[in-house]
Formats: sequence, C-alpha cells, structure tokens
Amino acid sequence: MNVIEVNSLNKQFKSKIKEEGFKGSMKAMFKPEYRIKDAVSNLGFSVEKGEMLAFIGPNGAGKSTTIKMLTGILFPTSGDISVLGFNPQKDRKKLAYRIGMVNGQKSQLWMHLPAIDSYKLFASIYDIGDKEADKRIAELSEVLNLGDIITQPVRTLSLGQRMRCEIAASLIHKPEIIFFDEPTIGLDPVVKQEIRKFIKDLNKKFNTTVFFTSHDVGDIEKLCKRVIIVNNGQIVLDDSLKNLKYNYLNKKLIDVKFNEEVYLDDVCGMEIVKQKGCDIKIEVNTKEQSIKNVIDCLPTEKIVDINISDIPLEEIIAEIYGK
Amino acid sequence: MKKYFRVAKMMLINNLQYIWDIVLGSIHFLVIIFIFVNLWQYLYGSGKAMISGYDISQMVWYLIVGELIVIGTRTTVTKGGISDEVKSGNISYILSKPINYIWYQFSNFIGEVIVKLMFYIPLSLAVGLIMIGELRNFNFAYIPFMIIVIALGIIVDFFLRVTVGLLAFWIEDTSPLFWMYGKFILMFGVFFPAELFPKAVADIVKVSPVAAIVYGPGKIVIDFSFETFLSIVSIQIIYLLLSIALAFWVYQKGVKKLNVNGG
Repeated sequence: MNVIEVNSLNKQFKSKIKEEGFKGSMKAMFKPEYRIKDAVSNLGFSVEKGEMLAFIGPNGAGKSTTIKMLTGILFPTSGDISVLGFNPQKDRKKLAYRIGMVNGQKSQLWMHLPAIDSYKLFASIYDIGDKEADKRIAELSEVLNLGDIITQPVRTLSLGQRMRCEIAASLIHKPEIIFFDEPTIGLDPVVKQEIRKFIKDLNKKFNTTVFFTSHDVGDIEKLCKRVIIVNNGQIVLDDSLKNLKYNYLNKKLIDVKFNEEVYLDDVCGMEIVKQKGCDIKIEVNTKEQSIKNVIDCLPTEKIVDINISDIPLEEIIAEIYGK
Repeated sequence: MKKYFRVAKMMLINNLQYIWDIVLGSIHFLVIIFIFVNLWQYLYGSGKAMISGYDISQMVWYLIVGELIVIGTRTTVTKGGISDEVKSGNISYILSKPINYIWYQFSNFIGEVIVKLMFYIPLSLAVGLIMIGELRNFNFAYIPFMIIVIALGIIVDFFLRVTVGLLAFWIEDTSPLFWMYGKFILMFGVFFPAELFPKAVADIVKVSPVAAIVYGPGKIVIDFSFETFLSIVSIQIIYLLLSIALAFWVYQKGVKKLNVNGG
C-alpha cells in the first residue's frame, strides 16, 4: 500500500535579481527584475507503507522543498500529492496528527526550558491526554536513553543529546510516517550509530515509514533499501540501494599486498589507482573485465593479502550528482 | 482549546526566565513618563487648569494607560517575531503541527503579556501615584469595566501587529511598517488624547483603530461613564472583528507564498 504518492510535482521560487553595488541596488529598487527558479520539476514517485527511503541530492537539489510540500508547509506550483490519503495543503492539520518531522538544522524544542516541558506541550497539541503523554515520554526516554537530560534546559545539552531529544519530540504522537531532514548533521560517529539504530528499530517495531534525507552516506547505507537521487529538482535515479551499488557503476576496488615491489601495467583492463611500495590499489570495471581475469594477471605467487571491495557509495553518488 | 492554554502556559513559564530583561526594558517606559510629566507640568504651570478638557492629573494618567497598553505589552510576537519566523524558516515546525498558526501566536502573546503586565501594572500605578498623585473622581467600582476596555485594546493592537508581521510573506523587511504603525499609535494615541488635535483630525482618530487601542481605554480610565464605555466597546468590537478577519485573510493568502529555502 502506498502511503505517499507524488505526480508531476512542480515548485517554482521567484527571487529578485540584484546587480552588484549601489547602482545595482537602485536599479533593483525602481525596476526590479525577477528570476524564476524551478526548485522541483516534474517529480513523481510513490512510497510504500513501512519503507525506508533515502531521498538524497546535492545542496539546493530540492530535497527539503519536497519534504515541505509533502508535509503541507509549502504549496506546490502544480502537481498532485497524496500523503496517507490526504492532500497535505488542504488537510495540513489532519495530516499533521499522523506524520512527524525531524530537522537536523532547526530546533522545535524551547531552548530555555527542559525538553520534558516541550514534550508535554506537543502532547497537548496532538490532543494526547496527560497520562498517555507521561507513558509515551517514559517509553521514548527509555529507548532513546534520554535519562536525566530531559529535565535540563535544552540550551545546556550537547548537539547529540539535543538531537535525541528532538527525535523524541517528533515521535510523541506515534506518527505513521516520519520525515528526517539531515538528522545526523554535525554528530559524532557514536551518536550517529545510536540514532541510526533507533530509526531502524522504530521501522521494524512499528512499521513506521521513514523518509530520509542526508548527506551522510553512512546513514543511507545503514538504513535505507531504496534511494531516490534528485538533482536540479528532478529525479535522476530511483532504485534499490543494492542495484545502485552493484549495477550502476560496475566498479570494484582490489587492494593487493605483495611480498616485494612489483610493476604492473593495465594490460588486463585494470586501472592502478594507487601504488605505494608493496601495496597496490586497482580499479576494475566488471562490465569489461572479470575479477578472476584481473587476479590471473597478477603475480599470484607474490601476493600476501588481497581485498576486493565495492567502490564507496559516496563516490557513486558524487558521480551521479556530477552527471 | 487545551492546546492553546498549554502554549500560553509554556510561554509564561519561558518568560519567567527573562524577568530581568523585562525590568531593564521598563527604563524606556519610565523615561517617556518622566519627559511628559515635565512637559505637562510646564504647560499647566503657565496658568491653565485645563487643556482641551483635561486637567494635569487626567493628562498624565491617560499617558500612563496608553503606555501600559502599547509599551507594556510589547512581546516577541508583536515586535516582529512572525516576520523573523517567516524569514528564518522556523515557521516550518509550527506549520507541521496540528495547530492554528494565528491562535498559536495569540496564545504565545497571552503567555508573555501576563508576565509583562505582572510587572508593568504595579509599576504604572506606582509611577502615577508618585509623580502626579491620585486620579480625580476615580471610582474603584468601575475597575472591571476598565479592565475589559484595556484588554480589548491590547487584543486589537495584537491582531493589527500580527497582520503587519504576516506581510513578511510578501516583503523582505517589515520593520519600517512596524515603525510606522508604532509611531502612529504613539503620536495620535499615547502621547496626546484626540481632543488636542484639530477637530478634523480628532474626529478621524476617534473612529480609527487608535480609538480602540489607546484613546478609548485612556478615556474610560480618566473619565468613566457608561455611555462612553458602550461607545468605546462598540468601536473595539468592530475593530476586533475586522483585525481578526484581516489577520486570517492575510495569513491564508500569505502562507501560499511561503518561500523557505534549504534545511
């Protein structure tokens, strides 16, 4: 069952063009000129219930704009959106009871008050009774390991602690879909891992649909099975992560350690990426050459260690962005 | 309704953290009263018992009531908080929750204004009594009526300021509009009662929003009559309905124009 359906979605932003300097300012004042930018252009996709989708792209690609249209915050220029059967713009309030949003760059908590006060406020906003709210806060505190931090003013928390509190705030009403907009930005690896584990458990336990944007490839690899890549407001790829990794570029990296320095050329269709002493890194395009053939070309009797790995996802994504 | 009470309560708790900011902010309030008390004492000292129907005590208490309504209730929302939210994109989080944006801001305002008035009402009374003494013919029995008119004045001012703030959906900087609105209210309402202006101007002021916000409440406090009360409350209810309708209309139109880039 699809919980999100988007068809022919467009969003244009109108921005003033101002030439440099005083003359430019005067001109913009008396004869303003505008530029129409297509933030989102003819977007179409659907998301199934319980799916964990990575919606990624370079800065300015239209990711956040899309999330804001899916949550009813922004109005599309044209196109159709259905989220849990609602039109987000017409039924923003009704939809809000069933979705949640976490934004890594903005806070919804009251900075000078403890997070628990914000939780109680949000519980009231979502029409949750006091007893139920207390129970829910206790549950979230336990799974997100919040402990005493919810009783400290938010401004005194570390970024990692704050982000865990932000996530709890967005889940107080048990949303069916949760939109994560760069939730791990600026966090250390340990906190990132904790948050990823929590999101994974959330999806597994409650079948919550997760719509995820991040520049951190680790988030995508660890959490999402499907990835949509957008660039310049358009979808450039919509595929499973597995297909993206194994089929899109068909490149492998072979790290070989020899017992002595060896000199290789690219006779077997291999590309030597790096050579330092006895260590060589080779890139192989498996469409043109099988791994076995490449290994056969190597002086196998001198091999001490060998490791075959995929091209890092980050490089694949960067290459797709660059196209 | 519970959610809006909770928002107001939250804002009230939050503002108790800023009590010293409120205390320091009252310096401006006191300076204006000090300047005007001296000005009026100088003018009345030249032999006039009444100016445009007001004695010096009424003139100063009128100013104090006006200042209480306009300066004593300046909150984050009425100082341009909505414009800041629209410009920074922080409005996104509020719009993603099942709550009406304007009533949410009204609840925020009530929460903040209660804390401010807890300080400004005793301050106003103390300053008035020290600098000019008791108001002639003041009757404590009329206090509930005065509270109604002052509260309505504050609320009309809130909705008009919200409307100005919501113009941020279209224009980049609303501060010049806030400046003009604020100065208009001060000049034609707080500093001088309508009767001090030429008749043509006074007649306009008496039916303008200034009458609902400042002139009416000031007049009720210094010279109460049921006839004036009914006429002022009628004007206030008309402006209240108009200002609420205007704020909601501007919001409905403007939210479709929201332009939040990035994050």
